[in-house]
Amino acid sequence: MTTRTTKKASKKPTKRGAKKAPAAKKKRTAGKTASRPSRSSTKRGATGLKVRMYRVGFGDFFLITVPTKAGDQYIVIDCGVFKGKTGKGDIGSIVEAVEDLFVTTGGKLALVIMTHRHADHIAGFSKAARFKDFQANMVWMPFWEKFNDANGSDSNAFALSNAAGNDPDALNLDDPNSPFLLQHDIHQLAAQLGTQFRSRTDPAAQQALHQLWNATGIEFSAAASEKKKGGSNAQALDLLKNHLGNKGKNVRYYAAGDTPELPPELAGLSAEILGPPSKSQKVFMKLTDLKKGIGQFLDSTSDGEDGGVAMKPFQSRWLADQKRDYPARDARGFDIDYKSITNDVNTSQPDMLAAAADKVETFLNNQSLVVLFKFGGKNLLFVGDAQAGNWENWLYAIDEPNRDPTKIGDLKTDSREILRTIDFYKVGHHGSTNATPIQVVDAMNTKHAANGFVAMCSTQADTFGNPDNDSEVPRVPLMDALGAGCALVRSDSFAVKLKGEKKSIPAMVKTKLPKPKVGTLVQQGLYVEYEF
Amino acid sequence: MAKKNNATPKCPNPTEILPPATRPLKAYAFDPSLGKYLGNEMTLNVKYEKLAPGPIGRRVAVIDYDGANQVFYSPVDLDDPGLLIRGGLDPSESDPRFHQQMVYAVVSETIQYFESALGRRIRWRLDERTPDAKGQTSAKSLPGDIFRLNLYPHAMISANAAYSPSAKGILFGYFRASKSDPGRNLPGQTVFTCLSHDIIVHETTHAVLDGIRTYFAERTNPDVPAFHEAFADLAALFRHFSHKEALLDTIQKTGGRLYQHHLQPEAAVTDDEKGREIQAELAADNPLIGLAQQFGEARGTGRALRSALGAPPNPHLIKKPDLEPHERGAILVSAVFDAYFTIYLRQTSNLFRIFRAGGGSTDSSELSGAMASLLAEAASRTASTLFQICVRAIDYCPPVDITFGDYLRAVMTADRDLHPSDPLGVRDAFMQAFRLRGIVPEDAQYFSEESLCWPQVAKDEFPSMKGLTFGDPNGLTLEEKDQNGKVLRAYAKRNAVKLGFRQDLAVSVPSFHPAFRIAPDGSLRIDMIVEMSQKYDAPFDKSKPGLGTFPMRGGATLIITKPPREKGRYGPGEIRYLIRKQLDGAHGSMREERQRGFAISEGLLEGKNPKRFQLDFNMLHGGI
Repeated sequence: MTTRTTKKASKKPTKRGAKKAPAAKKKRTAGKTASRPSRSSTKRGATGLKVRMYRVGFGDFFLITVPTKAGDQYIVIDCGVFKGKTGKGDIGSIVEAVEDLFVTTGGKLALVIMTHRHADHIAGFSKAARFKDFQANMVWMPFWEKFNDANGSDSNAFALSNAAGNDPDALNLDDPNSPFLLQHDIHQLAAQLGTQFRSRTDPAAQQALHQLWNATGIEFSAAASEKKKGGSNAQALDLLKNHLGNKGKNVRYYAAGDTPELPPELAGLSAEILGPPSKSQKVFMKLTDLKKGIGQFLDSTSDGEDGGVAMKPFQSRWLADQKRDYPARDARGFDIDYKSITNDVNTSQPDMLAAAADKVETFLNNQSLVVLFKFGGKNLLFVGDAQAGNWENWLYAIDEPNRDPTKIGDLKTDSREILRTIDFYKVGHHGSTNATPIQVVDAMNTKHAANGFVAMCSTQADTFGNPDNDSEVPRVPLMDALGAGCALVRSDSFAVKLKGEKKSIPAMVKTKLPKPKVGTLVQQGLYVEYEF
Repeated sequence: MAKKNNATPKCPNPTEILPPATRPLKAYAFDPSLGKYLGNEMTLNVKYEKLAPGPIGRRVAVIDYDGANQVFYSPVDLDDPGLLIRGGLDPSESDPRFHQQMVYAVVSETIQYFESALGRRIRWRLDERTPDAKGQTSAKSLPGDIFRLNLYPHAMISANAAYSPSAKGILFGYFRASKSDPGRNLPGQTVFTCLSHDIIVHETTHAVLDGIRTYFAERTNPDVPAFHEAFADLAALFRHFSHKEALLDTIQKTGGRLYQHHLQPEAAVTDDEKGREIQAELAADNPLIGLAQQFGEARGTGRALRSALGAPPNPHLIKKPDLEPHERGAILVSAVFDAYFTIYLRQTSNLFRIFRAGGGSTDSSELSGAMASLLAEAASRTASTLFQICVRAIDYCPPVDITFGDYLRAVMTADRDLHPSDPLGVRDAFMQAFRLRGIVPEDAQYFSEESLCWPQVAKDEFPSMKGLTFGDPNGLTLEEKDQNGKVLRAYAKRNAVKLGFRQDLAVSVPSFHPAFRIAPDGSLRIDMIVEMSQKYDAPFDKSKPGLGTFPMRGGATLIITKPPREKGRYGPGEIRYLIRKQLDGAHGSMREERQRGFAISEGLLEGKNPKRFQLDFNMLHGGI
């Protein structure tokens, strides 16, 4: 393993990169020899296609370089980061990473894909001022994004008129499940849950609060009164919808089965949209549960501006002093433990709210645009943060999500074929278990030669979840299972140096770059890149 | 265990006044939104006990702590002479002490209903006790044991109420009514779930059921959460039919057709919808078959939260995999109510014949007072009978992995066991109502009464159970309990294979209850209902041990009868029924596959916390 890695430990970046980015000098320590990579030795079947994963912390930021006859063309898939529950998710590198992107691409992008509107996928578009200098010919977004207005907020009239132009059918407001109403509700819900959670400090509430922050971009816990319209997610969405994509003219919304329109400069590349589920398959978004299960939050607080203020149900004369007014013992003579009673009551409520926040999270993740690219016989699968519903929709021949996977049957033949033949997989949802089904791992690992494909997982350990209850992200058993069948690279497995702040971010896990069967993996600067 | 506070008088004193049998307490029959109309302000007679301010009694305690505002509210002292003399505080929404009184009264009354149906005293949830290597369990109390159920009338700001085993009680929320469509509430007014009779009964039923069958709160298949919900709704709905005024009024306004969704308007109406101008012309919803009217309206739905009868029966609905637990539960509720109304109609058909023969017209809803009161009596009696059947059936359910089909079999068996002759066709009504909704047992051979009842155990099939004490209707003494526990565990260990358990796993005895029931011939029937269970940790995926395990349980319910006395002494207990879910065999592996699939689809793969397999009623509810 060691000997193999040295060989391709460092590699000169593209010309422009070498000139302008001193970050290129910071090589992985594993490759002390700093020898030039011998491209030829691993070039079998190579097309010159490159996929780059920037290390930004907990968030996705990918660049695909497509070698066309007219020169290299660039596709950016997501650019976001989120600091997460522990506050350690954002390692502070995203602005520099965007600078590096600018240097590499010259600010000219063929296509930008926003998989879904979570901060850890879009925050970079607003954090990095540099994006104002970028030009992109086209922007792809998930179908469901169509029903949000261009400012990313949930202003009714605007979204209504916006969506009406595209799909009058979706605007049937008599249908309680119309995509527009669902989108509207989800933002209302997220914002309200945020206000309800704001004053809470217990861990469950904190986790939920951060999920909601990720969903809306509104930092609920701080400066509660200053609720900016839509928060930073809104700015990012504004940039994506109105600035990039030929000043908003070439913004496309896709769902599973759509034939996407590719910008002409990407000749030779083809793309297939596998997710999100379309309007007619909305059951896969788990929306029905959402409306029924937790809809009452909308009723209870939505139409008042006082949503976050605790209600006082009784006049103050009814307030009691527990020590004075309540008996110390019950009728059987047992002591009554008021301390544990208050604790029980205080902690049992957030579970409910947390569940609601979780549904918001799942719903947005399931909106993820899932794209399969094909170029020169190579297949690349980008799944965003797709969760069960999104996957099931294209993997299986079923009309509605199946609660019982034992009866779900086998993967569809063509889905199995896709998984069996991929050369690159972007690991879903930063490596959390809910985003790469076991059947998928099995199908990908079957019949693939060892290390026959490369998987990249953008993540930052210790950001979300807790290994004590097996909810850590990325999930170790999943990483192991995946890693057993392919060359898996985690973005937190290599150290990076920030030139601005003059500090270095250590690797979270000490693993060496794996050796792919085909092509070259190179780590340098703020990223790792796979050329194949 | 602490010393018992013995309330019995020490020496007979001819002038001493004995404590009363019951304590009258006022409460809303439905909820505050109905005002004083139709006997909505009712008095409940609950078993008398000495109460500390709260009220805090032996088995339930109201503790008015508000978790959202982090304050306590003044507790009511129901033993205050001023309250004793007038049956408690008058109904009021603004006085928290009335809320405490109502919660206490309704919960206590619900417990009484269950105890009379079960023929024994109920207890609350106890922590799981796994036997040690010797097959014995410690008698010590565990942290999760609930000896006294705490009731929190204003626990949270939420349109929700929930039984929470971790909070050892029931949390009631309060919330603002919808500002746009509040129904008969003021827009934005505060709505208290603790003032809804239905919600209190519903939540108490969750707690009671959790005490009887611990593993019914373990999510092993889609029917489990749905069953808990359905059973709680059934208890709340059947209570409506014990309310005389509402029942009589509904009978008058539906012409005796209690199952109609709408009441006949009080004023005669022309066909023209536009002609309805005053409230007496509007058709009101039938209050008997709707649950939690105020709550539902406050949420802006314009109707009751749930109804006993929903859509026409559809056998395919239950096969939909994505049904939410309440929707699934509603299928069971409507099946039971279909049976109820069928029996009610059978019972009253002669009355209607006489009524028509005497010149009465069934086209109009006008009924004579005598006829209405006879119908009310029949409706109320049938409701009480069916409630008893439904509750008793719990004792005939397998202890683990309940399905609706199992419940049907339990209902059939329980009823046949006590009422072998079935003049009203109760069992037939149940069978057909379930069949119409696609609820069929997975393991019965035919859809007939014979085949649906659990098979009775042949005499001498199992070794006799020596040393079991059946005790007294007021409960077993501590020594008797210890003794019985030992006898049962030893028996289970010795006869594990015969009882259908796996030899290599310990068998625990989560509960045993003697039940005393009066058979139709007036004789006293004494049974011991015993739960036995064993579990192993099944891997989610055998080839990937890192993915962890889920608890897979097998279990058996034994119904052991105290034999008649012979030759001057009682013989050993006889096992009459053995109702089991095995770990082995084809059924066992089918169950394992199903549970694995269900656990994965419910997202239980993630996490190490064993609690994730338990139902979380707070989350499940979303709205009670």
